[in-house]
Amino acid sequence: MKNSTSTYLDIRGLRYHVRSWGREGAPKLFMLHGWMDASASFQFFVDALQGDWHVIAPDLRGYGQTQWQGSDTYWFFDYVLDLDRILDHFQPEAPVNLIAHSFGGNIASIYSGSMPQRIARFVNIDAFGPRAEGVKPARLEHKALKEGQPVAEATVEVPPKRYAEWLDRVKKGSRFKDFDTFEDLEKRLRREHPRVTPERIAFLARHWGKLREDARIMMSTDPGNAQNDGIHITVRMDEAIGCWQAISAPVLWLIPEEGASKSRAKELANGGAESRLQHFRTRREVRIPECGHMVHIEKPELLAQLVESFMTESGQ
Amino acid sequence: MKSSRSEFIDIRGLRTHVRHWGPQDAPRLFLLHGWLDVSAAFQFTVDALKQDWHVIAPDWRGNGLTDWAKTDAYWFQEFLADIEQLIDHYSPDAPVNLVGHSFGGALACVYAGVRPARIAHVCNVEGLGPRSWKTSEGNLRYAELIAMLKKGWRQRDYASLEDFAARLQKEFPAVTTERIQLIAQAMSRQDEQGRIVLLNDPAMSSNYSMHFSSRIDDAQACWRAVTAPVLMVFARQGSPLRRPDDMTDERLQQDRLANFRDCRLLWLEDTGHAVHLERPEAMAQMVEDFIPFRHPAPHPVADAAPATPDNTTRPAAA
Repeated sequence: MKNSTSTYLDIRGLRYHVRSWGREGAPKLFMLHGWMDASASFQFFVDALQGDWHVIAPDLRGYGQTQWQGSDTYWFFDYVLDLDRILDHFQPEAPVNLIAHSFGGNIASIYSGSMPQRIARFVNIDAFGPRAEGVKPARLEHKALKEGQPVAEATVEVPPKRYAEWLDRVKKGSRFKDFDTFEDLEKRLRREHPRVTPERIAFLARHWGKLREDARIMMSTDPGNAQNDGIHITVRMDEAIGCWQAISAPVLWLIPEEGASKSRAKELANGGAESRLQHFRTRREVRIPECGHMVHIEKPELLAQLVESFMTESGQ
Repeated sequence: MKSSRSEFIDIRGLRTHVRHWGPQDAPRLFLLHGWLDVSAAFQFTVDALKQDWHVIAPDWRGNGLTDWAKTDAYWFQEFLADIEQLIDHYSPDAPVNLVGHSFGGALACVYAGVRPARIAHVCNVEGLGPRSWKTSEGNLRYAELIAMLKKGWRQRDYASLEDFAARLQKEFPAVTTERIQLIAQAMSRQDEQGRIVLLNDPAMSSNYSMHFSSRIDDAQACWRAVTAPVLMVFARQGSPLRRPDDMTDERLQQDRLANFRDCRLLWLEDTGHAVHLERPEAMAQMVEDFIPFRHPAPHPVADAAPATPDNTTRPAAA
């Protein structure tokens, strides 16, 4: 296992933890993790890299070892602003290589279109942007599927409803389950990620979870991030499309074939995927069979291979 | 001058200052101040009210005596949750009367669409709402946001309260000196070196993040869901004038007012944007003409009101 080192930065008043691997001075790869994840989960990907890279991966605000905001909601906009500051710190001049997963991919997609001159190459792993307007919230759709109701009866989702749902969630508050031991957390993670080896699960449990003062195991993520707007409360489809179209760097789109939730899969299968992908004008797509959403922990070797060949091909 | 009393309540982890005037059991008015303003600025409006209302006016996060949020960017959406919890605290069951100035009015109109059953009346004074962004140019907006926030801000301070008052007087020449002095006092404090510093969070000194995070089409969708009667008040020398490119009479009507089911428009003469400072008597009268002095009954359509109206049928213009 390659060793990582930790750096702490002040990003917009928050103490940010940034993990890095490899030789300083080597070409840089910036990695953004997704919702309920942390930089440490890129360990297996880094271990599988063949080349000489300096890999830099922040724990996003409210995750891993980065400071919690101490508020009940995390806003998408803040992550975009944070990313800009992090890139400025490590590579202020030259455009960067960005590899981003899921929620991190949504941040990176919006950023790459807004600041196209900052991006050299962009790998987007399974991040499809905001829910389309007129599409039911995923959990309602799940409920419909479970109850055997036709999903087509989706209620139109408009801003007042979206805001009202968010206000309800804020009022309820949120708490992540805690565990007696790391082994208990591992048990739960094995159920959620059946394809991942027990050794990797044990490693992840110790980064996704942490020891609390009362000796119980809590999740490292701020519960306020359960209210993380993701991208869905504040970003509209047309706005996201505007950003995607403005990306000028080559984009590698990685789509795990078993990545989406049931409801998302349905939306994406019904032309939803293509209707989004088409706006990434400089993209190449690779579909990854027999792989779920967490590509970097399920197939890190394949991911490393795809990333390295994309990053080293001519025309960089 | 009617005397106010201060209360501090916890709203989403921030110690929030709420100013009250009048008897606790009287019918209530919630007065919502604007960007870089304070609850105390409603003193003159309250003084001019004929009836003995219970007036409740918060200082928004980052303003007045309320805590600052630990952020360099205040997003519009945060205030929706703040106003929700304010109403939860004071009126968990009965609908409320909202009177908002500028940002406070714009917020009241959006909130009234998010929680239509909780609102009895909305009086929006000079709260034009979001700018008409071209939403397909999201990338340019983000780039601008990133650049604006990178610049950062410095809070201005003043050698004396008189200096600060003089600055305010220049900004609001039509407001009397006595009023300016009271506002200057309410908006500032003296630091250890004896200088006068503003109470508001410096991150509030640019309203860019707030404009960025509220979109006209989001607001319109919320406005269409409002069931309470709405009184829109604009000053002849006020905000529509400040955004002339955006705001012809026709566009004001079409893009904004026509989205409400029940909306009355009033133009006020001889005043600029700060109606509550320049013409508080007129403001008080409009409010009392519009909102009956009684405890609001549960909303007639409280149970039936759909949170999401059918957007295909456009409500008739007011």
